[in-house]
Amino acid sequence: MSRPRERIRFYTPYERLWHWVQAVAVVVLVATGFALAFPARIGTDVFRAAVQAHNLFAAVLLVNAFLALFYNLASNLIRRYVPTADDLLSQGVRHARYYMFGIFRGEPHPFDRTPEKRLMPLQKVTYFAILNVLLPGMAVTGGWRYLADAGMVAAPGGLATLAVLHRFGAWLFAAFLLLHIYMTTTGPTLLANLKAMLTGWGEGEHGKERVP
Amino acid sequence: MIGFRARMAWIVLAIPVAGLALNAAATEPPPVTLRHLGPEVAPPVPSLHPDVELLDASARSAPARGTPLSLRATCGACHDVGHIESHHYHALAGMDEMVPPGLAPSGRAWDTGPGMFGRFDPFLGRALTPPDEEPIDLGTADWIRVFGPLHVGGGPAERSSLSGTRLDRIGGGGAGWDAAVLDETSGGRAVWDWSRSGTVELNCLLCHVRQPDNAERILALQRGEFSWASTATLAGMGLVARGATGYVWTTTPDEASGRVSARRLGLGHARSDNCRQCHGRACRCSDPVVFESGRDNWRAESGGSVFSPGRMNRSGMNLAGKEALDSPWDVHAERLLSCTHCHHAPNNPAYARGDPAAPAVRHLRFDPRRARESEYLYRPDHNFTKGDTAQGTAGRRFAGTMRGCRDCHDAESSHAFLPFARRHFAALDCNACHVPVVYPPTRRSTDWTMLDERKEPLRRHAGVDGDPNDPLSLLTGRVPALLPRRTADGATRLGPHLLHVAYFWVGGDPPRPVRRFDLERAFFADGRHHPELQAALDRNGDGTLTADELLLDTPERAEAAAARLRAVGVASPRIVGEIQPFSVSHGVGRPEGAQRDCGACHAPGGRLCQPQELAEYAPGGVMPSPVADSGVLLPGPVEPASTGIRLRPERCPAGFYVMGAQPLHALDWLGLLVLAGTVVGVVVHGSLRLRFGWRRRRSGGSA
Repeated sequence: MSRPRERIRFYTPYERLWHWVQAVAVVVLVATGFALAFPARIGTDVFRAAVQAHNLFAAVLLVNAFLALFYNLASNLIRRYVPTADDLLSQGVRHARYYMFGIFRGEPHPFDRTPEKRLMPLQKVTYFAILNVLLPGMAVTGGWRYLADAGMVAAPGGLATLAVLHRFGAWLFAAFLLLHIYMTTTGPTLLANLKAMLTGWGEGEHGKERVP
Repeated sequence: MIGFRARMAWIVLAIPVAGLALNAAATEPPPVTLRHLGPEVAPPVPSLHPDVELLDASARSAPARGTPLSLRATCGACHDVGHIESHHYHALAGMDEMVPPGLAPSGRAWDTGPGMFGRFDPFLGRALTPPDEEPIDLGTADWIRVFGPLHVGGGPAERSSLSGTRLDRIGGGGAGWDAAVLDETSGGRAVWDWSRSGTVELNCLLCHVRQPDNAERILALQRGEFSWASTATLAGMGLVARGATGYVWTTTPDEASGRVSARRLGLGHARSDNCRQCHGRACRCSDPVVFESGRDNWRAESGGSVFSPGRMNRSGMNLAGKEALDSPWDVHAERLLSCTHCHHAPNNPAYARGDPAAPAVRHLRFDPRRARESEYLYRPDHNFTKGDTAQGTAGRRFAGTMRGCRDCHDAESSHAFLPFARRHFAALDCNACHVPVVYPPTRRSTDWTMLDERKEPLRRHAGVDGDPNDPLSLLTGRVPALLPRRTADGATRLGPHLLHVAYFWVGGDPPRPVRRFDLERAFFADGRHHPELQAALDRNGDGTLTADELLLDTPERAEAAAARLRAVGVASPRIVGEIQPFSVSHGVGRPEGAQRDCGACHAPGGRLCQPQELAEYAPGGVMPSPVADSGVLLPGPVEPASTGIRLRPERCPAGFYVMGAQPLHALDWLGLLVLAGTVVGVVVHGSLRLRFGWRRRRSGGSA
């Protein structure tokens, strides 16, 4: 007999707004960045528009990221993004094991999600890397390139070096985007996690071990 | 009624005929070009210049005494010729920048300077022999006879580059290359009699009279009649003629005293036609542009330079797609600019912006100080403002003093269509887009490792199907290589360059180029190729060496030639190959013809990443290396290819980021691997979830 499920509010309106703004920005940045790799094919008008869109959404993404940082610091919610040793070790292994085996056998998710602790161990590790390494890396290489193009700063190693690093980050972002979208389908139903991010509400189960 | 109908029929018929006529007039405008407007006979030249007295070296009337004209005395009466001559990179030809052999910027072990005097010329295959070295190839007198046609006189043609003494005062005891010339019989040294030949003064007439007789001047130089060279320049004006024993003044009785009107001489400022005498014969304003290779047209042959207002489709050249080429050869020439508008005297009050060569005033955006007209006319600075090119090795301290394109053109306003315009302006020479194709046949390679039956090197041209001098040969044009070059302002920019490859023999230690004299002695016997060479090179055994059979394209064939050189005394002969880049700086067409296709560069197969074909073969398998003083940075190795040898860019190109043209970096491949792994992982994981979920549902479990 399955445990009783209840409707729980997972995401505040600000968190949802933040998420979707970031989502749109990342998608536009990946798409325009890809287009910019083929300037001869897209023509000067599209190229110019793609450059402007890329710069605009990069700014949107950065501002949004800084506002979120402020929000999480001010509300002391930043801690939920910081992985612990357990997240990397025993809990992480348990989490990975579920996606490697348990999910196929129809086992219940090993961790319960609550509004306070809604990030799973592997999610924490991934987000921690993205928010502390990948996103700043992209901002630095992209911003540096922007300023070097404007002749405001020098580009050590040439623009080519900055471009290669920026592109590498873009590949990783694209991979993350794909994985992230796929992982939304691993909730109680295929669209449950997506609905939760759209409406703020989702279903939780009582009686499971909670994420510490 | 019938009359009315007939009138109507005439009207109906007349309208289309008149329309056709009007249409024809509209689509075929009269051929108005400078060439067509140019009168056939030169008009009287208005000149503010006073009449001149033609003086000899003793400052007495040259026509009256029958002595050679001295322009030092004649022009020096009003102008400071001494200062002009000694501050004139055209005259000095690098004489003021000479160094011991091996220390020249070119990196060649035998070069003694960066200029025409001291720098090996692979087109001519001759080198000034370093002082006190044997065997001699070129002494100063021979240098004048060989290079004099391209030299304005003065400098090393007048004064010893070693001691500074006037050459006609050193007698037979001069040191080094001053007193000696090549004895063309024995190959040894012969003493040159400077007191008999005189020296070659700075030839003011060559640039400042309207119709100088340059051909007669060259003949005088080649005959060794150096002191008469200036006089010979007046031959075309009827002031002097060549007699049985030398030049004879033919001035009118009125002019017998030596006083000649400036109007008759056509004295005035230098015109483009004056410059063209040395800088490219394919550039006459008044003639259809035709091409003739040779050393009097070396600017067109090496750098593709044609500065002419004539339309390309009305030239004398058989250009591919000629009908559509209605652009002038150079739009600046069409818009009435002449050479001196850009290459002017730095202290010309009309153009001056301070002394560009003096670091002390380089910080000034505007220098209101000007030379007074009288000061300028007395001492005009002849270190003309110049551009900054790979081949302009002499007087490099003046490189970049010329006003550049953007000093006159507001590029930002005319390039609104161009994304990242500033970035393009910073990274590219304007010519990179504005000279997309060079149309004259240009020299691709000169191979001195073997001589043809005329005892000339083997030359290959690019952009032409057939003999470049045959007017029927189809000129297909040559796309210059866009190569990074470090310029005088310290920046590195991509500019269009034509690459010339020269192969020649060197011998001895330290190496010296094998003299042409020795090449001829080694490779020929009785006016034909030497029998030993015939035996080694004649593939089909027909007793003659065809053009293909002359190529030393295998080690065995190169060894056969080396053996002949050893036989005439050349120590350890070996083949050297070098690449001389020539910056393309003229031939700017109309803006409509500029490169506007982004894909030309911003695509994987773009110009920046295209291999450059350098030569059709590598004599002795030797890969050429670039000369060290061009400032050009080759972006990749020179390597053998199926079509000969080529330059293969490794990065596209060094130090520059060209969107769309960059090859994938290792990090790109790693990123792609991560993305591909993610895709595969998601597909496999999702498929397994579906499969196991379906099984569970079939067995009654939950999904």
